[in-house]
Amino acid sequence: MNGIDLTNDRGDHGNTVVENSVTNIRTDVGLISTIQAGNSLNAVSSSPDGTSIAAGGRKVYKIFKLGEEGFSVQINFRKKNMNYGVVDLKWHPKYDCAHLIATAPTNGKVVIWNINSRSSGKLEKQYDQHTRTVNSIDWSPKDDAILLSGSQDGTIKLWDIRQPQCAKTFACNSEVRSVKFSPHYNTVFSAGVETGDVQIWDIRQESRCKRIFPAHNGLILTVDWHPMSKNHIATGGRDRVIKLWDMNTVSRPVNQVQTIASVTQLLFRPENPNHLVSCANIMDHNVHLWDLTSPYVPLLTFEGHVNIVTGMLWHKNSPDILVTCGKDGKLMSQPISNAKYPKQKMPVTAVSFNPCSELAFVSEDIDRNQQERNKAQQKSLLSSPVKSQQSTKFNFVETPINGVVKIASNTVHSYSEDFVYFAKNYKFFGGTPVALCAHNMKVADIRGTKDLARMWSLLGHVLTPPNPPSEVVSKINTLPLPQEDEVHRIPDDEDVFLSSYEDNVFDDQKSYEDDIQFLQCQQVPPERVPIHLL
Amino acid sequence: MKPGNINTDGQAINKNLNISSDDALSVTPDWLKNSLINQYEDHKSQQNRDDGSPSPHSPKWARFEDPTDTTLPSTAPMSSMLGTSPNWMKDNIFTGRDDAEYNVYNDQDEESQLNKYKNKQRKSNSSATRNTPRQQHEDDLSSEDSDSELSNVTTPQLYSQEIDEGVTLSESHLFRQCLHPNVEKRKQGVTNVIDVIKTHLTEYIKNAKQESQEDLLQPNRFFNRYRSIIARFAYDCPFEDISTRFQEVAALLIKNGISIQKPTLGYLNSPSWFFKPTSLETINNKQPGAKTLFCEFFLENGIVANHSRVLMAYPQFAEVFFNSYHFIMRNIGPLPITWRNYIGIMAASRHNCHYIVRRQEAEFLSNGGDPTWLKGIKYAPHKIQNLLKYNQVLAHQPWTLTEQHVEVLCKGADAWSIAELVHAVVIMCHFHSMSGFVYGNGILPDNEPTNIDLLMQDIDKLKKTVALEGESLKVVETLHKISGDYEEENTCLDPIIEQTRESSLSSQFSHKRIKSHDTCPSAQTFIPPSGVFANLNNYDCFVPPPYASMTYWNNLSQQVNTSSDSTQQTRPEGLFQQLKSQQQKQSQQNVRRQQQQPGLERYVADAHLSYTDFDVRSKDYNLLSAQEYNWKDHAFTMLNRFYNGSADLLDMEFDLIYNLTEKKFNKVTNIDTSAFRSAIWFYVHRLYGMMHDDFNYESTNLLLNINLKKYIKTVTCYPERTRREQWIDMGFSLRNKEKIHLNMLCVEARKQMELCYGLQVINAYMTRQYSH
Repeated sequence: MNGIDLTNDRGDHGNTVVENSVTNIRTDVGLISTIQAGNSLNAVSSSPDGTSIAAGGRKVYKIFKLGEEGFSVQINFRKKNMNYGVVDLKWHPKYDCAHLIATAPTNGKVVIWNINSRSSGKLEKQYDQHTRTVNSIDWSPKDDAILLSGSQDGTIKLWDIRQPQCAKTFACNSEVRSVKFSPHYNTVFSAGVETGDVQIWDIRQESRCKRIFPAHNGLILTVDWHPMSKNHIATGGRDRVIKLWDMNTVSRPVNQVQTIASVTQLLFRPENPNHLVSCANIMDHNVHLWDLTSPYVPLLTFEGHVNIVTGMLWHKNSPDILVTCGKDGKLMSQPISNAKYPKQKMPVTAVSFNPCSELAFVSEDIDRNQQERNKAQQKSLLSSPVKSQQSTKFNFVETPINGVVKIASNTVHSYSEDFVYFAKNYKFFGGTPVALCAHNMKVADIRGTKDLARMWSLLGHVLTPPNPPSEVVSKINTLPLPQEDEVHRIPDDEDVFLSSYEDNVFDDQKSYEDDIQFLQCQQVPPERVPIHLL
Repeated sequence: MKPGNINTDGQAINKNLNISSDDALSVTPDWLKNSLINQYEDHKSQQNRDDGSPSPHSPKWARFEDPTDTTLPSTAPMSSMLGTSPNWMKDNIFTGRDDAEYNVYNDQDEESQLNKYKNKQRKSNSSATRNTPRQQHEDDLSSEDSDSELSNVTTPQLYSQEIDEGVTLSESHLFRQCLHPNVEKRKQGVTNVIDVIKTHLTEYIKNAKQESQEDLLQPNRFFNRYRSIIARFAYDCPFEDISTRFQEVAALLIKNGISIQKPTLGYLNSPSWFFKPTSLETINNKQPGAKTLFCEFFLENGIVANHSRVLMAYPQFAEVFFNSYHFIMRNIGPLPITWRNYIGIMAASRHNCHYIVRRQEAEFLSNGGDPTWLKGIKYAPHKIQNLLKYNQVLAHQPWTLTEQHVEVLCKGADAWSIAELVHAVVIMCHFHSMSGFVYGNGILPDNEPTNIDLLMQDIDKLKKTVALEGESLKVVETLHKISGDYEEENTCLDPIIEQTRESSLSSQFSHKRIKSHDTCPSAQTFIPPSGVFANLNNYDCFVPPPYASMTYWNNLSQQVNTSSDSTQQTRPEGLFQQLKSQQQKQSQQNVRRQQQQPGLERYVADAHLSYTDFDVRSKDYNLLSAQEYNWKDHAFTMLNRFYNGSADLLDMEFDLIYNLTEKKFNKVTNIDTSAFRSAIWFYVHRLYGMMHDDFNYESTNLLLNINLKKYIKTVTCYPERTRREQWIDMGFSLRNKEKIHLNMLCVEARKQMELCYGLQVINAYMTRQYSH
């Protein structure tokens, strides 16, 4: 060892975090508890009864108690040894084996811990047969002693924890990022690999996988089985997309959600299988809850972390509580009703003109208060004397919005005539701004476009200095107004067009000077221009 | 004058150039008398106006150039368009043409409109003022009469140097006509060029008849300058249609007494002075893939550069490599094209890599960069100067990068946006590692004839064949052991080697890692790799020998310069003692000087900063755990977000080089070398303190011997110190092609490592911004 902490890593400079400091915020809708684990966390897992939460990172490995009073430290495993680092961590899901925890440290081992062990290390077993990092581990939901590990070395290994050696090896031909047992079958598991394929394996068949289908462009980082439907599986990848697949038709996903960063973890919400939470491995520090039927805006957003979120789970006893851990070292539990509801403030009105002066607009009424109602419901439940039925069903009714784009067109004047007329007759150079505005107002007035005329007059007012010099008035009168018959003369001969082009611009030295004058006008110090707010 | 002949598909052809230069000769002699510096100023002011429309002389990719060339805001194209021709635009809409017509009109007539405007102001050749660097050259060429005048003019020193050295063809527009992907247009271009050559030849013959015999011995300026290009087009060109016709011309020229040197293999034509070019693909390669690549290289600059030739040892990698190179240097991106070249110059200057700097300087100028910047970093905008610190730390000690380095860049008047910075980091990483490729493979300057036979004379004497063979066999056996397909019949080749092998093997495997499959092991069975780290750092072989230092070489070259004859006495013993002839020494010296000449200090701030060994015990910095920040998960996503498109290309590049194998190790075939390759890869990462928890670092000691480690460390940490002896004695007996492969592994590993460090601090900076 030589006294060197080899697990030293970057990114701790200047971080003044107080290890094990707990922050509890009691809100109307429940307790938000945060504990600082001391260093970045990579994974989190809950004991079968939900009272304890194990969390770990490269330099932390602890078990926390989660109760009425929020988090508290139960066991600190940490030693300066790489076996105590955590890439992935899974508590055994069964009550009978609630003393077993499996971790995948960064050095490619698979380690089994026994929290009832009397030895100080609590280390039960370690397997060292992967040649690279183990990215993902999973306990079999049915068989007590079976554990899977998917590794960067391109294999998945199946361990029977009663045996000292690996029981089976599944060669995936690509780095494995995620393994997960199906909750519906005893022997089926899925694997997400770096080529972007989802592989479905049966543990009885070691030679080749049962199914394989391309799901993502680039790395798959996470897979999760649908909690109800046997054929559905959700995948997330480095291509920033969440996809829900029906394995009967893998040619295209059933639903897909485009997010803003690589999707590193996905978790179905047991209460409503249309709901899925996701977190990212860079840039996005929030956890988003998506409704797969409305893929554009997250239904809920859980805030609170100041670095990326690395692990998530729904509380076993009260499934409306989400526990998350992150690179910022925080372990956090918050009720679903505390999350932000982005649709509450989402603008739903949009307007846009096209060049033909037609106006397209959309404005829909959406239900902005769903989360508020949920909160109220939760509040009343919490205050009610009967506390046995604490779990509430949070219902978000997604009313599909048939966004109708309406188009309003100006039928009085045809576009081209107005446009050509204005382009010909508006002046932007050759006078003070005020005079130009006045001129343009008159031009607009002649064409009968009252709104435009009003706009010009307002602009004129805005630009008017406190004491308008008298010359402005005179100049307005001297500017020649265009004749109506000029409007329709569109030069069709190029020579004519070119000569007029040159005459207008380059031979008119005066207009060039005025141009400069106009630019100088713009540089009037701000205090001299009274701004009438409209 | 007619507007530029711009093809409808936007591809610029240069047919008009010839016409314009002839016109320039006949019409505007007075213009030529203007000083060239004035031209630069004109060019600069013109540039602002012309920003919206890329110059018709630029190659196709230049059309992507971000018009915000120097410090203009991003609205520049719009404002400049409106600023120059508001009425024209207005009128153009009024003509009621449909969009397609409008575009064509726009392309062709904007030119004429602008020209009319310009002609009104100044009766001069409009296109001549547009692209000064090339045009200057063109005028240079077409007006030999005014040569004396031109040479008296005080041009910026560096630029004229570039022309004389003839780094690439990019400045020389005449020959660019031949470089067209379309066969017909290329044919036309070749005809044009050959016509010009023939005209000059007639003139030359005419002059020769009139003048005295002495003048005949001096071929005129045209042939002096373009002789080498004609030779290259005739004998060193992947396009058969070009080479056959130029060969005819060359024969004609030779007949008339103008010497065109025919390059032969091993002479004039070797890309590297470390090995003989026989191990590389030839340019007339008939394989379709390689052929296409060579053609692409040639089309770009009219030359297959030496580093491309070396890269072509692995055509599949060369293709991927150049795809990503073109993307980061020429495709749409946050930084203007010329800035990218300049950042490339800065990056390569950190390793004193003249080869890259000269190429980038030439590209910088041909992309319309401001020549004054090339006087030194002080002449570049402040925003670029701010990058100096980041660049030098990233190049030599990336582990000491902190958020403060990013903060300095991202705040204040000349702030970098995150996207710009990310792009700059990608470019810097590329050129830092490319320096390792250039030095590590001993790449010779392009287009400068070097007598390679003389350089190579002593190459065989430097080899220690038997010992190296033994080393190779050892590692082959280890590899077999690791991959588990060890077979007895593969081993024994020579009884002596067999003996040495057995003795060394027994010692090797004795300290192999003890694997523990105990049922209930304690934590103590874990063997910490700390001992390995200590070993890695304590190799005294890494202390550079005195003759490997830069100062040594600089002093030496000065000595050679000052005392040409008495060098024999003053030269220290050691490296040169085995060299036999004075001539050979001279040519080696030349190569040395070309590669290691001082003078790039103008692009660097702190020239003394260099790599120091990463100290795992340091309190000032920490290891970068690959598990916390790695390429595939984090740097990739970061790049994808801020510089879309580059991530996939770079990922492909890294994947390909990491997995590239021919399943050979010297003479042994069908062997899994992955352990050897990953040992190199992770050793490079380890040199810079990037730690992979799941990699067994002991295997680096098992598989790489001291000489190989020396080479790897030199190439990745201070490539400018690479010596030819290191290449020849790389620890193992390897084929030259394998050595190139090994070098590519090293430089790509370094690139990935640097990208991780460079992007990690930016990410940390942004996270901190967010949390405050």
